[in-house]
Amino acid sequence: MVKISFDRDLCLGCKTCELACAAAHSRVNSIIGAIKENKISRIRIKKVSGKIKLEQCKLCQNPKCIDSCPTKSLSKEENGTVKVNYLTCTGCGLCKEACPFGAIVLGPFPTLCDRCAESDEPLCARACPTKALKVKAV
Amino acid sequence: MQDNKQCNGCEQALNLLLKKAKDDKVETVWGRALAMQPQCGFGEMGVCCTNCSMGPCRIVKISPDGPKKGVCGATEDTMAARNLARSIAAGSAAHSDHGRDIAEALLNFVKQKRPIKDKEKLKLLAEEWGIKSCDDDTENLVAKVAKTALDEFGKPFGHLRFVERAPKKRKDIWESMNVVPRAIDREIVEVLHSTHMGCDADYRNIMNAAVRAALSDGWGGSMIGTELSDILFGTPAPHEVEANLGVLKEDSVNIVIHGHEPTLSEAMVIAVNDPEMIEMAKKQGAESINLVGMCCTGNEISMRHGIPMAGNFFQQELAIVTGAVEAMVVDVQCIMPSLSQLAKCYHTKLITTSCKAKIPGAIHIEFDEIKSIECAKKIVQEAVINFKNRTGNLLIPKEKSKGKVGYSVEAIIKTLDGVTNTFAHPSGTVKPLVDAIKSGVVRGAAAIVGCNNHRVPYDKCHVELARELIKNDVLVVTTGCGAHACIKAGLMSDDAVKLAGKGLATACGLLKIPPVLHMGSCVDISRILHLVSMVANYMDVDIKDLPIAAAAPEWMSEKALSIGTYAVASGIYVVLGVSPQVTGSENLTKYLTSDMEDIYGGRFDIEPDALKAAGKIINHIENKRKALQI
Repeated sequence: MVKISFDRDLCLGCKTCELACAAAHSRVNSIIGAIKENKISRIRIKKVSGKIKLEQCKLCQNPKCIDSCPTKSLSKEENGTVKVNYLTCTGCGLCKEACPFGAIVLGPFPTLCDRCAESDEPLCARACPTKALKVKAV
Repeated sequence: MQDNKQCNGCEQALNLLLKKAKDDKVETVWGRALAMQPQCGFGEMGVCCTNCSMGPCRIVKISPDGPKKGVCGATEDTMAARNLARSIAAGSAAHSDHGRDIAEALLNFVKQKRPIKDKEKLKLLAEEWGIKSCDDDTENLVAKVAKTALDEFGKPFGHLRFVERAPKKRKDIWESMNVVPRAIDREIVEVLHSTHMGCDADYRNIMNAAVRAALSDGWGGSMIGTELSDILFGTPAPHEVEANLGVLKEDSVNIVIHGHEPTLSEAMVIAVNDPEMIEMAKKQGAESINLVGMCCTGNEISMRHGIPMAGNFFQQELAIVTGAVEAMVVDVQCIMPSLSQLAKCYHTKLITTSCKAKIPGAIHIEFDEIKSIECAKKIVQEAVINFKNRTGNLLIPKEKSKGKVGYSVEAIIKTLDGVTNTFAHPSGTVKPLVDAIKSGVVRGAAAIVGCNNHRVPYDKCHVELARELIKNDVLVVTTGCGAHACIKAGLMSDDAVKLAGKGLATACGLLKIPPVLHMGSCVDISRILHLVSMVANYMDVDIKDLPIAAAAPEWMSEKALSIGTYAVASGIYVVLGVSPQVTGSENLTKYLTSDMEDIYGGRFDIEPDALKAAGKIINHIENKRKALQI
């Protein structure tokens, strides 16, 4: 399981992680590709009541998103990430509402952090210029 | 917005329109600012460089193993200084290009044999510049003055003529630092050149070039803009005007003129008073045509014609939200591109007029100086025929306030002449003001200038600061959006004297002036420079010795950076409410907030809290008084 730690004090809000995430999930691995393919970043840096906040799947033990899915389209992978079955998902958005961390955005199907399963390490953490995002192997 | 308690009426009007914007589902600057959070810390600290395509480079100060230099090796000091210098140059360019347009307009007036308003000022300026004239040939003189002014932009030798207005000690400092501005365009070009990849890497030297560019704005472009505008359209004199969005009229064709250059607005004033136009408006079912000004154009035409001041930078969208504006006519600077989208949600026509500022979705009617009145009439026509398209979705706030505007340097001296003992002293000097300051009745003077910025509570910073200063017997002069904030809060009315300390109140009572003086648009900060040099020259001291200060509590534009820099380089203590994007470089920050004081006698200070800023200014003024032994 790959945990990503977030140090709020180090984050400068440059959103390089968001760009890296969208690029990583595009077919050509580039920002331009992500824009053309309408890829949504699976990590978001927001400011909520004056404080910087990270929105990203936390790999819950008992994910509420999975429980809430009426078509059982969400399932937990071995590495702890949540996978979406795009064939059965209706894009109803109940998982988005169930997530206590605001980690799910519909685009139009739920997008959830996969910890860049196909790469060596999550690209958001690799892209972070201030090391506010760090990989923690668990 | 919740803690915006500066003026109940203003706040109510604001909240009313913000609620309407929400109901109408249109976005405003506040919504967009919220959506923009968090804003990138690298940009905020000024340590992101995109000057060449090896970049973008950014310096990571926050973690020990992050890059500390750009690909080319530029340090945080170099990057922050380059970015700042480029902003200052852009600000200087904006103000100075405004000045150039006025000089060209002056030349056009001669070609068309149109009369100018202030021949007296023309003669004085010609004399100051050493231009000879025969008494009967004004036209020839106007042409010579206009050409001389235009020469200031690109002359190959010498330095700017208005530098001679500065006290001798000031000029010596500038000469020793090699920052005497030569030609306006040259200084701006030089900043762009020296901040090009692989040129200047010494932040102090970059700042020298930036200071020179800024001085070429204050003592060059802006001053040319102000002086020639006065010659062309008349030197402002005190009179009362109305302010705030309540000046819009339900039964009239409302035209908001927004932007900066008075050439367009002056033509508009003539066009809306044309009987043919008024007749046309009546045929459309309107009572008449109501022209109101916004931002600095609002300042310009209220100063010269008493046209109501509709509001400042953050109110431009709200004016359209009222649903009562037939046309918003804009020229250059501080026009939010959002207006075009917003105008489409209402019946308002957004009309752009400058080839330097087109906005997608707006109607473009290019303003031609040669056919200025015809152009203006065409614009007014567009507005008039739009009156019938008004929907019932109308909300004009009732709130409006009154205040006195029009305090040009000439007007202030004339006011001072009113209390000069003509038997003992010559008139036409700043003696009464100097006497009041020397005696301590008035402790000093402070300028509150600048824009609106979402980073600080809207208008509150201007108003609270002004209130606190006048309470402590500091005379306040304002320009730009700060002036709008003050007049809306009633600080330019006769009643405002009650808010002033005893000394200032007495002085204001004698002179019959409000404690906060409206000196014009942001270009007109050159009026303040002119006035402080007159005072300094009269007292035979340098500007840095005077008990004066300046503040830009809500600044946001590059022009404001240029203004702040020329004020500091002129020896003035400047308190900013919002930090410039330089904090990534400790050296540059120290240079701006402390080293500059050792060189120029003025420095920047950052204080977002208005009351604390007032405290700092009062403290500074008292220290200067002590040093002068008054």
